[in-house]
Amino acid sequence: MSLFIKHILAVGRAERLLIFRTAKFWVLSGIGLFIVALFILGTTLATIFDNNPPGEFMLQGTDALLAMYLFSFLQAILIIFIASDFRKTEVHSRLDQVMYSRPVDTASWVIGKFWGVVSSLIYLNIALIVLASIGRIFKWYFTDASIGLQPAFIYIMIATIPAILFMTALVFFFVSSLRLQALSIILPIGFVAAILFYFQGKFLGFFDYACFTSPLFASDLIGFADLGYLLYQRLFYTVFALALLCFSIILFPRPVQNKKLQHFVLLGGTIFSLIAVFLVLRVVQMEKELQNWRKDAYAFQKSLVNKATCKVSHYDFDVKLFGDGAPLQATVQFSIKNPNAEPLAELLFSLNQALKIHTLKSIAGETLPFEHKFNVLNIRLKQPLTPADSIELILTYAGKPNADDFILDRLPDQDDLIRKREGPFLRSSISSWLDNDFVILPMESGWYPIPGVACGYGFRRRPPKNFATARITIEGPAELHYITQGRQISSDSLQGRYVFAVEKPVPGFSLNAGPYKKLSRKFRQAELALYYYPQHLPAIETFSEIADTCFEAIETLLDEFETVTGTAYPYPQLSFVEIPTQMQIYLTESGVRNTLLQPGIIMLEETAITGHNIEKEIELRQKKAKRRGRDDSIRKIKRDVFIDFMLDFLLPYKAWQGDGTLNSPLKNYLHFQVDIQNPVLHRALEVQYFERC
Amino acid sequence: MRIAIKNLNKTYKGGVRALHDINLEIGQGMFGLLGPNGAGKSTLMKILATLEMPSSGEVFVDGENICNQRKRIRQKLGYLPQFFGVYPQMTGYEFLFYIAQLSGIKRKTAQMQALHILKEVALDVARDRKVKTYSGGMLRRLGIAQALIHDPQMLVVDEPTVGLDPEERIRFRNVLAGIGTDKIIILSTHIVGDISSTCDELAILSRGKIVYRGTPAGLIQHARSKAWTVACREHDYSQIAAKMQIISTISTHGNLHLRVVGKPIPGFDFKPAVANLEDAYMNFMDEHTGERVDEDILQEAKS
Repeated sequence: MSLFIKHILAVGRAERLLIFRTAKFWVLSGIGLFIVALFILGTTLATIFDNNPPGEFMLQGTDALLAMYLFSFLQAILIIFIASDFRKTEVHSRLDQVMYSRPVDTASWVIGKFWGVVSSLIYLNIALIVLASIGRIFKWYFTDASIGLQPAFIYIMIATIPAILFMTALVFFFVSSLRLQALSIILPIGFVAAILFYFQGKFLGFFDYACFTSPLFASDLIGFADLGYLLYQRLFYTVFALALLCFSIILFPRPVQNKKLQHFVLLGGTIFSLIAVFLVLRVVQMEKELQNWRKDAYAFQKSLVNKATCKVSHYDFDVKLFGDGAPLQATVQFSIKNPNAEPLAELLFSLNQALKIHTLKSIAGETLPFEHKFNVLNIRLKQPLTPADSIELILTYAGKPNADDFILDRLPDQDDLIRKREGPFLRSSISSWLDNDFVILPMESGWYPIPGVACGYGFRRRPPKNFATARITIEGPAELHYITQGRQISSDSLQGRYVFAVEKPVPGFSLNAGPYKKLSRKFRQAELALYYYPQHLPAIETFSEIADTCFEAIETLLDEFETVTGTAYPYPQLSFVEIPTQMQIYLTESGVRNTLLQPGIIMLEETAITGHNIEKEIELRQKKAKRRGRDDSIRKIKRDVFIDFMLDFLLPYKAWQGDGTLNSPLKNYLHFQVDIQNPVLHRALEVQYFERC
Repeated sequence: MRIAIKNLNKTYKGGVRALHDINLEIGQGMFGLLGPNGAGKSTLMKILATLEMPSSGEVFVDGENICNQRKRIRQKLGYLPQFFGVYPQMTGYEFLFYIAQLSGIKRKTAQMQALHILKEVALDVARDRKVKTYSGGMLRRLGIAQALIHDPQMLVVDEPTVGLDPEERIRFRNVLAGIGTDKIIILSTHIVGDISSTCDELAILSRGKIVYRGTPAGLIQHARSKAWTVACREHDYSQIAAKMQIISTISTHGNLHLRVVGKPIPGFDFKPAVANLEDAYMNFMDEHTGERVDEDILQEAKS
C-alpha cells in the first residue's frame, strides 16, 4: 500500500476516533437515533397489534426508508457541525504546526480528514439500518411481513453516501476557502433550509441532495423500479463532491509540499467539475427532450384525433418474453376492418415508440410502407380500404416499451397526476414494467397496435374502444404465471409456451407475468383468481380447510351483485393481480383515479394485500367473540375473515367515493362496457356501499 | 549534515519585516538561538520547519533547498513549536502512534516506537491516560516525544521551557541533552539558562538580524570585567538601572543586592563578579543593540 493511502487511512482513523469522542457527535446523533428508534418502535407495535396495518409499513424497504428519511434531516446538521471542525481541531489544539510539519501531503491530509468524517457517518447509518432491521425482524416474526436487507443497503448507496460526500465536501470547501468557521456553518445550513423550504422538488428536484423528496419507495416485487433520473442526480452530487474536495485541497492553507501532486489535484478538480457540469446539462437536456417530445407527440396525436380510424376484430399475438435481443418480441397478425363510410388510405395505430418495427406485411407477404412517429404507427395502404372491407396484416416488432413516452395526457402542468404522493413516499410513476421477474404491460402502455391515437381527445376523455377477440401465444420462463384477458387453452411448461384465447371481444389487452402464487375458483363460466406475491400472503394457507365454504360465500355475494345490477359478468375471468406500488394510476373517462383496471383484470397495488394481518384478525375476532359470550367456531371466524379480506378487493369501502378504489368487479363489469353515467352503475355503486357498511 | 541559511528574508503581509538578510551555517550538535521576544526566532524556526515560505533567500539542508524539497526535509525533521497542544480526547499512546504513522513509520513499528519513546520521556506510566489530564511538563515531554518519534536528523525546538517549573525544566533539558550528538538540534529560546546548560554554539537574533554567532564561552569572554554586584538602598535602584543592565535583585532588610553588567557609575561600591552567560548576553544586547532584556525573564532563567 502506498504511503499516500496509508496516510489517508491513518488520518481518517484518527479523525474518526476524535469524532467518536466528542459530545457534539453523540448528542446530535443520539437525538437522531432516539427519534428513529421511537418511530420504528411505534410502527412495529402498530403493525404487530393492528389487524389492518398500513400496507406500506409491511413492505420490506419501508423501515429503512423511514429511518433514513427521518435521520436525513438531523444528519444534514450533524455533517455541517462535524465537518466544519476539520481544520479547527488542530488550530484550536495548537497542533497545526506539528501536523503540517509532517511528511504528509496536503492531499492525504485533507482526504484523510474527509474520509474520517464520511466513515463516521457511514458507521452511524449502518447503526440506523441495524435499528430498522431489528424493527423489521419483529414485524416479520409477529406478522409474517416480508424481510430483506437489500433495500436498506441500496438506500445507503444511492441516497445516504452521495449526500454525506457532498455535504462534507461542501463544508470542507468553505472551511478551506473562507477560513471562517461560522460562515462555513451558516452557508451550508442556509443551503439545506433553501432545499427544505423552497427548492423541494423544483427544478426536477435537482437541489435535493439528501433525497428529502426523491422517489425511493421500494416495492417487494420489483425493488426501486426505474431510478434512471435519480441515479444521474446522485452521480452529480458524488462527482461534484470530489471536485469540491480537490479544490479544498488546493485552497488548504499550508505551503505546498508536492507540486506535482498539487497540479494533479487541480487537474482532478477541473475534470470532476466538468463532469458535474456535463451531468447537469445532460439531465436538463434529457428532461427538455422528453417534455418536448411529449408535447410534440401530444400535439401530433391531437391533430389526428378526428381522422377516420379502422377497427381490429381479431389479434393473433405471438409474444416472446426475454428472448435474445429484446425483452419483448412480438409478431401480431391482425384483421382490420373499415367501419367508416369513406375509404381509408392510411391506418392509424398507437404503438409505443420504443418498440422497433422489424416488418410490416400483408397476409399475402407484401411489405407495406409505414411511419412510426410519436407513438403513432401510420400504415399507408397501396389500395385504400373500402368501407366494410377488411385486410389482414402481420407486424413484427421488438424492444422494451418506454414508460415515459406513453400516457401523454400527463404533461408536467398536470403534476398531481404524475406523482402519486409527495414526501418520502413518492413512489415514482412507471406506466409499464418489463424485467426478468415481472411483466406489467397494461393496454395504456401501448405494447401492441391499438387502432386510433391514444390521446388528444380532450380533458379526461379516452380514445374510442376497439373490441376484439384474440389468440395470445406467450413464450417465456416456465416459472412465471402469465395473465391476459384470455382463457388458457394450452400450456407447455417444458417449452415455456402458453396459449390464451379471448373468444368474446374485449376492449383491450394487457399482459402480466410474475412469480406469483395463484388462488383461484370457478365462478359460473368465469375464473375468479388472485395472483399474489408469495411473501405477501403466507397466512393464506390458514384457510385451506374451509376453502369451499369461503368461496361459496363469495359466489353468493357475486350472485346478489348480478341480480342487483342486472348485468352478468362479461369476461372469462376476474383476476386480481398484485403489482408494484410504483405503477402509475390511470385516469379514466369518469375522472376517477386509481384505476389499475384492465378488462377482466384488476391490478392491485401490493399495499392492498400487505395491509392485511390475517392471523391477527383471526385472533382479535376470537377474543371479541369470547368477550361477547359467543361461541363462534374457528371455522366461522376464519370464514368471516377470509370473506372480509376478499371483500376489500371485490367491494371496497370507498368505491362510491371514487377515491382510490375502482378496483371492484362492479367497475370491472361496466367500465369497459358502458359509460360511468349509466344509471345501473350509479345504482350499483350505491348498493355496493350500503352492502359493505 | 549541515544547514546553510543564505540571505534569508521574511516580510509579512502589512510590511512587517521579521527576518533581515540572515546568513547562518549550522552543523551537528545543539545550536542555540537566543533573542528577545519579537526578534524573529519563531519565524526562522517556522521556515526551518517548512511551515513558512521565505520572502527571499534560501535554506539548504544537506544541500537540498527546503522550499523545493519539503517532503524530504520533513522526513528528516522533528519540530516542537512554541505553542504545542494535543488532541485532548486522545491518550498519549494514541497520539504518538498517530504521529508515528504520519511520519511514515509502518503500523507495527509505529506501535513499538510509540511505546519506546513514551518510556524515553518518562511518560510510559501515563500512556493510557487522556492527554487532557497531563501536566504542563508532561505535555512538553510528549511534545519532544512526538518530535523524536521518527528519529529525525534535524530537531527544531522553539521555546520549549516557557512556563515550566524548575524541576520540569531541568528534566526537559536532560531529555534534550540525551539526544544524540549526530543530529542537528536547534533550540530557540529567550531563556539564557536553556542555552548555557545545553548548547555548543549559539546565535543571537535581534530585530530580525543575527547580531552574534559563536560559542557561549566567546560571548562570556566578551563580558569579562563587566559583571558586578552592588548593595544599595531602594531609592538608589532607579539611578543604577538607568545606567547599567540589572541582572538580578535581592532585597534584605530594606537594602538591595544587585547583580549588574556595564560600566560602573561613581558613588556605589561595585564589586567585580565572574561573568556568566546571562551577564554576557545582557551586556551584549545592551552594548550592541541597545535592547534590554526583562529582568523577570532572567530570574526565570536562573531558577
